[in-house]
Amino acid sequence: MTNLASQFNKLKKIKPDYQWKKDNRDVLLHQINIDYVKQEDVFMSRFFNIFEILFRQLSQPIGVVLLLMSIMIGGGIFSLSASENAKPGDSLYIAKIINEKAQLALTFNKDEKIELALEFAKNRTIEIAKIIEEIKIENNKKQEQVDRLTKDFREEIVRIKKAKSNNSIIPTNSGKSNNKVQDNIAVEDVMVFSAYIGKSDKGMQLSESLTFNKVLDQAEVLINNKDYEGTLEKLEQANVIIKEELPSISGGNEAMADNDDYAIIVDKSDSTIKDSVASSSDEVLKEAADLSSEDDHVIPQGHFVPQGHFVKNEESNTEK
Amino acid sequence: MKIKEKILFWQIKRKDKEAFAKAYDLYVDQIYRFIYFKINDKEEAHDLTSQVFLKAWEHIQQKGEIEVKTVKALLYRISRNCVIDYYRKNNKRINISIESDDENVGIDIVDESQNILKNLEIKLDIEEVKKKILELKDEYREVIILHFIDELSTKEIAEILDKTAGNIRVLIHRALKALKKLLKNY
Repeated sequence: MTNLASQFNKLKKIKPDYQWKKDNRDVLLHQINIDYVKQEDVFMSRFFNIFEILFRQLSQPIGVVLLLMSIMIGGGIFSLSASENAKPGDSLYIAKIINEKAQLALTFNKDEKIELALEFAKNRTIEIAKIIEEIKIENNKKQEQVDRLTKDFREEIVRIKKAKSNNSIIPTNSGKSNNKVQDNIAVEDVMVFSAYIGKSDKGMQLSESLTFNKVLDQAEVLINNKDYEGTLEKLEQANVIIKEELPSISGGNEAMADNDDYAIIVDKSDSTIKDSVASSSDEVLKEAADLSSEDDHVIPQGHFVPQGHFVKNEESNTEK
Repeated sequence: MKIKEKILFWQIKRKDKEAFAKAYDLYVDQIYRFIYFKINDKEEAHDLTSQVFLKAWEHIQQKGEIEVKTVKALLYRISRNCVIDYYRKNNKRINISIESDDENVGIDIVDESQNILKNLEIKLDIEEVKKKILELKDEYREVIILHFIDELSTKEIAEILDKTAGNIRVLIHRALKALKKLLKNY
């Protein structure tokens, strides 16, 4: 058998002439060329082949799932990066808008939300400018797209203003003492009062908020006048205002904490009065008054009700 | 290997000339040898080998799907048909006469490093076995060539000859037995 195997191995040496092989190869390729002049792009055909074979022959579930996931993630990242410069009418523009909405929905910090909305308003302005510069688009369509984008811009501005006004009243809406205040005094009244006295941080915030709204109004006017550069400048200005405000807001939080101390003390005095221990309630209220005068912050100045409580009880004490 | 062959098939299907050239380089020796052992004529074997490759290309382009799984199997099938056609046209019996005019026809010893004497010994050995193989009946000869010389698996041979793997194993066993008997007598 070994002998036979070696004999077979020797038979493997039977081969066609090298020259014939080479010539025949050329002849065959030439014949193929004549018959099939139209040849598809080899690279693309190879690319599709591999996919075809992968799906037909190697469709192992895990492999396919991994492949799809990598395509989805990779494709998502690719389309997002590609959509950054998309303008209305582009196929990737919708991806850009969805990305913006998703970013907005996933941002929970109100200040960051305002900054994002400002950024998107800027995007709309840039898009309008791009559309106007575009030569390929017909005038009718151009106007249509500009109108739509201007409308979107206005919506962004309304959203920013709304978010900003909500953000401005946050400090007054928290804290134990507010529960009692809210029954009698509307939030807006508190704001007006703060603005009127013009000394507290709250008042300053409100004035900043008014400036901010004014800048946004100016941006709206400029976009209506088709001054897109001016609009962008105003939006940038609004952004600067927002960024400058950030530390004051965090300061506001400290004030809120002090304010809570104040509220606890006032509550304490309230309960002491209820127990008819006037002297101790006097002491406690003095303590509260000291704290109030030390901290020149928002809510103590707007707190009429606890003082009202005090007055009422004092009257009752005098009556006694 | 199977996947590579499948990729090669799909590439040829997509009219990829490079893939076809690759298939040619891979299988031309085997196909030539297979045909040569069937017709025992060097020039005819050259012509038929060339025909086989051209027909394979046309077949893949026209039909798209092939009844066999690989390009190699398709080439062997077409080779068999070409040989049958060849005998039909020339009105010759498939059983080839071992009395060839040129004893060393179709044999090229590629390894040139061996000395002339050794070459001669090998040539004599090859001729000996070749003669005996050619004496075998056609279906035995076919499986001997495919299995022991071209090194195809029983599964691949079954695909080419359109038989079961079990049938092929039995055929190989019988062919080997017949060849040994012939060689003993020699």
